[in-house]
Amino acid sequence: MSEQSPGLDRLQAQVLSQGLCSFCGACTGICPYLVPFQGKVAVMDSCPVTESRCAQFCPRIGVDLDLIASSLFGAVYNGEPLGEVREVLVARSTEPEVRERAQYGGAVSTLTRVALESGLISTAVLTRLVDGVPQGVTVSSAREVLDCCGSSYLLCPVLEAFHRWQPGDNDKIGIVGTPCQTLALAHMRTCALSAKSNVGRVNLVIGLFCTWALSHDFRKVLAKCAPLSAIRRTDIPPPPANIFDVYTADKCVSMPLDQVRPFIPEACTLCWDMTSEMTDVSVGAAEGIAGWNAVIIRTEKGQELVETAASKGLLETGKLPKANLDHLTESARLKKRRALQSLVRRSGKEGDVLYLKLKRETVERILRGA
Amino acid sequence: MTVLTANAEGRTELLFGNEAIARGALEAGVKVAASYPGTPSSEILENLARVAEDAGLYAEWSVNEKVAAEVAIAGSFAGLRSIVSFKHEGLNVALDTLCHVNLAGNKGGLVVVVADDPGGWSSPSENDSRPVIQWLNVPLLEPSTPQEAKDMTRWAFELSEQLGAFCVVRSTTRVSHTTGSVILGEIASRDAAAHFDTTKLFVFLPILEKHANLLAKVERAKEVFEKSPFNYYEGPEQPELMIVSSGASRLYCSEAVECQGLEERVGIVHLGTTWPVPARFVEKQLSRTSKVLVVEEVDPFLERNLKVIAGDSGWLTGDHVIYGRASGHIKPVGELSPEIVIGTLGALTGVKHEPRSKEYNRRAKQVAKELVIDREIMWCPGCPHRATFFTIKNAFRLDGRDGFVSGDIGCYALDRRGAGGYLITKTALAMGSGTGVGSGLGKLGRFGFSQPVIAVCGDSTFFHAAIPALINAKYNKSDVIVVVLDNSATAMTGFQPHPGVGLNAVGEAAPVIDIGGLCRGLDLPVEVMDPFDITGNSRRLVELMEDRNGVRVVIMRRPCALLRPPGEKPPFKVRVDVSKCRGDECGCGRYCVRTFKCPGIVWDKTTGKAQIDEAVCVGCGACASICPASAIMKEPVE
Repeated sequence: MSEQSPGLDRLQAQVLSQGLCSFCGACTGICPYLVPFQGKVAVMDSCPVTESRCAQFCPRIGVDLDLIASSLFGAVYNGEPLGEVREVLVARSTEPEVRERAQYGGAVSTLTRVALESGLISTAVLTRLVDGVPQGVTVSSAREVLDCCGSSYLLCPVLEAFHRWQPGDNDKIGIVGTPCQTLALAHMRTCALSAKSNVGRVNLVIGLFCTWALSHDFRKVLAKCAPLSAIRRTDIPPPPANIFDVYTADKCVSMPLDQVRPFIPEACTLCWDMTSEMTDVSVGAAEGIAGWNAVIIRTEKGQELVETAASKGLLETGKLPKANLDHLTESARLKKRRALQSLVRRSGKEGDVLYLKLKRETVERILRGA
Repeated sequence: MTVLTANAEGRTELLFGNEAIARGALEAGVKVAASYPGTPSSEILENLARVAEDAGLYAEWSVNEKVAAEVAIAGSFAGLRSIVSFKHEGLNVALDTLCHVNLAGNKGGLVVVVADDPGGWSSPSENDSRPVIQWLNVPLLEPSTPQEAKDMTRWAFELSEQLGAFCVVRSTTRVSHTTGSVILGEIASRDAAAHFDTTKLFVFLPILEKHANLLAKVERAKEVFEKSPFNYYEGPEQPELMIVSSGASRLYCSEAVECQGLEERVGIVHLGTTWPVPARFVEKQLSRTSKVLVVEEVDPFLERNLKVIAGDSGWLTGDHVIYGRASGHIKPVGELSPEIVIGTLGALTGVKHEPRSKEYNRRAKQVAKELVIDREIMWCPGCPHRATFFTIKNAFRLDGRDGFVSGDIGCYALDRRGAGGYLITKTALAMGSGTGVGSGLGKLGRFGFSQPVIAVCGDSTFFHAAIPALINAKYNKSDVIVVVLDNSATAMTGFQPHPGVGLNAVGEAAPVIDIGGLCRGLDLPVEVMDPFDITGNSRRLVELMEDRNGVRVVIMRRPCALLRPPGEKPPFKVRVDVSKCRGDECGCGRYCVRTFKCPGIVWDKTTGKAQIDEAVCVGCGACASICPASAIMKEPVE
């Protein structure tokens, strides 16, 4: 399909109908034609626009990692398992109201609150569970961040909320997102139509570690555990637990992970990024260190934010032990390798990794597991 | 006193075809008239209802054609002259009753007027009623002009009483909707006392005896028809070619013969009584020639019957031949015209005639293009159906399981013809079929059927034929959503009242049958929505589609935009804020103009923005909610 075709037609042909959509929301919230609904992007009508944001912003049509890495880090994409790294830490929030709600150490919530209160950003795009369905929301106060603590593992079009945000003259925005969401955001900065979005207002990106998410249909399974509106958060404890935990205010229901895996969308198996590499700072579970987060600092801005939070006594930090770092690195390496193998299988051509624009030697290195 | 009721025998008046039929009934002293509206028959009852009080007759819009027939039959059983009228589609509905009353017989003159629609201009089919009338085996009259329409209708009452069988007058669009000179007759003064003679039975039993009686009645009718002045021949004594024609098409034949100067070579048999075919009269005419052309709307009904008579009489031998639609000498489908007959006559006689030169046609098209605005088929500005179909389309897109509409008969059927560009109506058969088909589809889950189905019907259609289907769906535990498009009108046929609007045929206040209440009485969940709440309704419909749980009724209630009285102010002043309108840009792409397709929103090529056409916009404000840039503004009109 040529570049002269309507962008929506290309998006449909190359992504939506191919099962490639990761439901990040990059194509939604900007027009009436694409509406995120129940875990998928619904195409409401045909659109004749050829130079369209939906096709440009979608990372799954094509994403140039060198270009993105250069714009974020001043260097081409390095292909390393953890991406661009300044420092890797363990961290946890010292704020009681965060700790009682948050997943693991609560570092994401505290960093977001500090960013808002310090004026680094005026608004943050977060994810909130509403009746068991995660929704992208914009918040502008530290108090509102508390309503968004915890993980759902369900696909969420967070970037729809980002697009719908209407900034004032001096507003800056921060985003907390998964690898697919933060990649899409970073990709938007490199698009010709970036000026027709809020991407110029982005002043902070906090990434979340993610191995995979779950489709909307998983809600039916969740509903058997507890009323959807009562679910506060969900969690996958580190191996060898091999379970999925569903938390309400007063109890935790566990189910075997094998019951969960069938709900992993195919799009997630094609994601090469475990630690949200195109961000200022990324945060996830510090496996084996209960109640703590692993934090990867990638940019100067990320470094400053962590240091500010620490200096205010709101974030407790320490060095991530080498064994844990090695384990994290190996997990990220394996995800990359699996994703690229799947992409090559799909394309049917050696070295062709579909939406990822990567140097051939980088592809080969990842596939070798180096 | 109107022209319909004026007792002015011998006076010539200009009457519309359906008006002439009504006049014929009044001259015959009709006392009971019933109908269900449908083009091209609606004006018959409308005219009778208008003079009902003056003429001392009872007129009603019935809920459907079967009931209408039964109401008229009741009048006949009680000794009153009675008439029922409907379009050809209505004949199908009434057939169950008619195919038994032909056996049961009648007392007061009983006339059925069926108006066919050759070409299907205003109908879902162009079915020819005549083969059905032949199957019913009752006398059939086919007028060609308003004069004949009046005279035949009047005579049909007498014939019905004479035979003890109901008689059918078959009109077509070109007869019903033609205006012509009519010489009025005397309005009969008849005793209007109704009494059912309980010593008589109007039943179909004993069947064989009744069947034999019917055959005898038809034979008597044939004898009457042999001498009928409605059948006659015009032309040379021994024409080279003889046309046999009935209805409006016989006028085309006269025009064609005259145009081609074939008066000395071609004769025309005008057949006004077409079932039973008067065989001796036909045989006599056949003896004039060896070549016959049958010109008729729609099926080769006369052509085949003539071939039977010609074969039985031994005429159809050697070089004797009968041409027509069955022989392929006239196109087998669509409405006839003088041009078509001229073409066929030219082929058979060698006299070519171009009714209009190519240059004339070219210039006429050019002039017409300048005078007439080319427009797509679309719903009227402010039509609630547009909003409803936009909503349902959105719901299907959100749901993503390839849902579709099981459609019905009404203005909303225009979706099939692309009125909104949605084309989500994938089945459409007959009145009430949307719900019936929906009921069936809702039982296919066990075979893996998982597509959402929304059955639609209008308010008048609901009363007409959807109720039994709805009960069926409930009784058989079908999973289906039935959306009743309640616009408080039988809009497509001309705003005749129905049981839901609180008026009857003669304009009196009538009890309102509440659709929602009726459904709740069936223990069905009912939700009433305003079609203009597009976003909320779409989401709710998706929820209903997800929750596959029996029959659910949604009433989309908002009056037809055309019901607003002339001069009444619109609810909103609608305008486009061009500074906000995104036009062709990403994020819009002319969304309102392309997807909502209200004629009130137009594209301004000069500014590259949408614009409200104030001459067309009715100020409903529905479009304001769909603009992605909130550029369509609606301000309440004080």
